[in-house]
Amino acid sequence: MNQLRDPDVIIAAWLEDGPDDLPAATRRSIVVGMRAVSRRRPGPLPGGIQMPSILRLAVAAALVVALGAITLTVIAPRPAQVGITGPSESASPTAASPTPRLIDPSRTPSPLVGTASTFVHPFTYRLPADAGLVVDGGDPTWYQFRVPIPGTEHWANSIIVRRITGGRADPCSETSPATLLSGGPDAVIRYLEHIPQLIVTEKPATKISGLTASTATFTPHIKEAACPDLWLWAEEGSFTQNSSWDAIGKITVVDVGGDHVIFMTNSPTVDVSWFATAQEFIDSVKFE
Amino acid sequence: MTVGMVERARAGDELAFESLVDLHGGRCFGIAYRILRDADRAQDAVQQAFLLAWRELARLRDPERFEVWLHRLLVNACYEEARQRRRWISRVAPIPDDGPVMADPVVSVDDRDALERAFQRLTPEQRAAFVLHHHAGFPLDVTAEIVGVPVGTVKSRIHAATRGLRAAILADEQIGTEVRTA
Repeated sequence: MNQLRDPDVIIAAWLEDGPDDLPAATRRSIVVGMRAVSRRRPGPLPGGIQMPSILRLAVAAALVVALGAITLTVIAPRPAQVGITGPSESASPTAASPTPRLIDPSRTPSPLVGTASTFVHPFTYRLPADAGLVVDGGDPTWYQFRVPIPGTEHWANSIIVRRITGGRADPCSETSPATLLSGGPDAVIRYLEHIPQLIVTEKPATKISGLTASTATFTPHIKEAACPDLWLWAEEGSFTQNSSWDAIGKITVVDVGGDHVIFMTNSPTVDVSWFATAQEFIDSVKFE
Repeated sequence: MTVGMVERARAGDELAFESLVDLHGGRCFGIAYRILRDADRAQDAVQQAFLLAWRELARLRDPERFEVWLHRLLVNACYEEARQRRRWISRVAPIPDDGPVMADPVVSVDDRDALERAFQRLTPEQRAAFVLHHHAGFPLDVTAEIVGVPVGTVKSRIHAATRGLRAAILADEQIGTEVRTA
């Protein structure tokens, strides 16, 4: 017997054959997991759902107005503050200063223009006002801008600027061999996207110092025994040890002189407003 | 009803979010299972999508977009699961042992086997577009919005998936015919 069969009917029947009820165990896991998840405040959506173009224009216009207001506030001379001790001249804005000031790593007044002069690709930057950042520099491949937690030796939000030479074949292993990330800044983002333990949610392109930069936000999955920590880069240091498995990170990658330079914005406490502050810092960076 | 629940959940009402899980969970699981063809990984993807939705819900401005947004999170979670190659290798799909398999008048065991193999050869992106459109019934424009690509790209992915699956059925029939005539 040789019946004529319609492949589409077979495919449709095969496709419909499967479960359509959520297993009770999964529902329980979700409900239990909800209690352990810190909720985010309003801001950009993950998953990159597009805003309507009119809304985008409105947001862009609002940003321009806000940026203008910030610029005026920063450039305009400030009246002397009364009753406040501490840095006075050094704490005043120096955006218009032709010679950037050197930074005292132990006490960093802001806003302030500084120079990462010992970095492999020297750059100037401007610390956002009242961000509370302390600069830890001097290493040719690693500059840290961090907010200390008062009364402790720990740090809260941070921006790490690094020159990286590659990723790791197995980011779960501290002893894993390195992998080259060739192909421009996007290669670094693609590398992160292929790490199973990371959820990469946003990738808006941007410019740093006139150079095209790739960006992404990412968060680790729940910690598993098979992957106790994540070592993202060929260089030393574990992302999850230095930050945490609950952290949300934002990475901005720019190629300077053939090197990948990354800006890692970390917020162990998932402080959304910190990302805006950090972006203000990153936007101010000018490679020399 | 969903919009009201989304608004309450967005404001932090856990019971409202649980209601959303009850309302959408089954369908999400069905979609994830059909994309991944693995119940364990589908459960992981659904859990990941709902937990991410709970965490990020406050940032969803338009509650009417919840379903598209949730399915986008789900598809992204499926992509992540599909890319965990080590688990692909280590996990062998077990044959259900809860009784004899009912004879299907349309899909033979050989068909099923051929289709499963052909489906695994598709990219996760092709599988997602195919399942969202043909199984979940999302129109092409909504499918495009969920997976974040133009409609033309969705059509192309669905076409590629359909072509691959049809070819598997036809090749299977050809082999069967050759065996019978040998």
